[in-house]
Amino acid sequence: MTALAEQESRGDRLRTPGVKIRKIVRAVFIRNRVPLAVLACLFVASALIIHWLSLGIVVKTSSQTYENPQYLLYFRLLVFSLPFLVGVLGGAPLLATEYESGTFRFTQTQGVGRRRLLLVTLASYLLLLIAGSGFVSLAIGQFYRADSPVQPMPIWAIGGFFSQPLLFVAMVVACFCAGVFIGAVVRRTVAGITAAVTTLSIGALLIYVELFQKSLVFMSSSVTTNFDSFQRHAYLIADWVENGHGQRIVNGGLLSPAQFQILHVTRHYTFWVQFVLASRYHSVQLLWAVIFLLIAVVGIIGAFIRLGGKDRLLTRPKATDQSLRASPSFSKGRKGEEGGPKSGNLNSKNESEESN
Amino acid sequence: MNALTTEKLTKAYSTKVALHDCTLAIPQGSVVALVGPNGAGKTTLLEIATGLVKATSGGATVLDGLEPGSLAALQRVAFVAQDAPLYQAISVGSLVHLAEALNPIFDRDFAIARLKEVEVPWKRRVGKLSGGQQAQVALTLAMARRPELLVLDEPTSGLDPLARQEFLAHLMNQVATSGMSVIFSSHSLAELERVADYLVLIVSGEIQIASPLEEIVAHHRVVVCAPGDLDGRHEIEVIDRQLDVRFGSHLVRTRNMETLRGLDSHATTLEEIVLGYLRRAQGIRVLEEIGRS
Repeated sequence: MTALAEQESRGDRLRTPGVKIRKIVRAVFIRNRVPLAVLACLFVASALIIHWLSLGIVVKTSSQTYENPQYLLYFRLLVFSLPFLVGVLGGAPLLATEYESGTFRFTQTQGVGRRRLLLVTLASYLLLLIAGSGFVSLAIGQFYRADSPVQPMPIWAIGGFFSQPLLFVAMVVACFCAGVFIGAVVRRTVAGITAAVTTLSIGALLIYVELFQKSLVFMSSSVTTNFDSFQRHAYLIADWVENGHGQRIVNGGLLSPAQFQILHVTRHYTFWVQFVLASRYHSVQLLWAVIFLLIAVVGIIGAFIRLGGKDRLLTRPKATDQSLRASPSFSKGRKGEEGGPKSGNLNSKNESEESN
Repeated sequence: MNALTTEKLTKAYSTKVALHDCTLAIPQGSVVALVGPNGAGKTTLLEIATGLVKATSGGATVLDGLEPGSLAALQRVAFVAQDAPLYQAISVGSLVHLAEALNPIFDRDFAIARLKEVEVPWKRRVGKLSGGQQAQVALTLAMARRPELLVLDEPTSGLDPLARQEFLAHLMNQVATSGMSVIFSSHSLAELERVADYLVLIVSGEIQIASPLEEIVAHHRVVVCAPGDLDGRHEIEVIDRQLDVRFGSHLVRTRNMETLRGLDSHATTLEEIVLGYLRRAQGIRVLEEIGRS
């Protein structure tokens, strides 16, 4: 047997039963209750604000115009800043503050294994993020309901390309994981937040450009036709108005109701729409979701690599509690008694009782 | 059975070598004082022993063969870092619950009793405690884990003299009852003489001495003689010289006291021995710098 194998074998023999997941989750909530509560509040507040905006926006029956058009701007700002905020304020400081304050020396030397602790921490955060962003994306769907005369979609399928549940949740998760990775690399809170702001801003800019150049995303799958031929169960990509000479005048959404009526009804001009069928639309969304999730996975793997650690994540400890009690120094008497602890609330005792 | 074993351990950072070819074998059950000037590599050695830092080359094992940082080692080795970094925003009680949730073995009764004993308020936020109280909390949490090896990085630096004395007394009491090994770094020579039974002196990343205290005192002598009187004597290593006009005071190390026959030699204190090594290391450094310039 090699020295390394011998060492590993001894490690397996002497390992106590691992700390139970629910205990680690409890520890995560004790340690991170403030940021977790802040994130939960952020999601709830965002959903409430979006709901409030949806009540106030009121689409006029003539289509494409709103009672309070500035609400649309607020809504878009909120929807696109939310993943950004999660990444910058939730993800980046998660490990950066630990390194900056030195508390990683406390947590990473506890008997749970640093990788396992990070895994449970990230899982706890991600569960909250998925639930919270899913909830917000339903509120977003509710908002778009007000704008649905041409898109009679269910609440989970309606809305902007990036704000539907599938993509919105994936985007929030990706931003958070990217933030965690950046924080783990930089290891300073303010610098980590700054780096996350820069990185995510670049990402947001790319998405912004992409969002307004949808024809690139849906190249060869979009259909351009006049307004009357717009299909049900299709997603509007762009709309514009052309005069009789084929010159584009203005985007349709910017027309006043009166202008629209004149242009459309008198048929002097043609209102064009570009749309994509729902199935194709969702396929592309799925592709983007996979891209976002890949970013998240890379972020998580990067954070694990940066963290280091030698504990195994997926293997169960082999030894039983008795092996610990049999170890020489333990059996010297932890409470001055022979054969280990006889009193007190030693966890191992509690756990063995639980297992019985 | 060794509490900590290192074999040609080297740790290099981008700009400096913190540890160089350190070979150690500290027996289990010892109370080990790790001594050295600032920047000597003490914290790096302790962080390697706890798995926080990865060695550049060479190897280290704890508790007779466990890899530092492995789950088996983490469950048996407790560490109190310099300045006792704890979560400042949560209460002492929450911190105890946190430590309890993160360890398979945790003696909650002990932690509660000890925190009460050192008068640390259970509900107060950690950030509102004094530096000494935070050190006491950190030590309590570490000891409540019932470790086989307790690693302390300058644990008494934030404590007043009385608290320091109580802290060490309590530590010794725990060592006596549990049989755990303790490795602690310290700048206080008087302190280490009182509690330690094994000394590791590290200067500029290199181990100078690593032996039981009694052995160190027994093998070192101060010899007062003319500079040339020690020439030609075997088995003597001159550690430090304090020269006068005609006679000098020499700190020497020898395993064979017979070699000092005929010379004016006497036993010395641990403090003098450590200072002698530190002066020697400093002298070598000065000579190196002169050589470089």
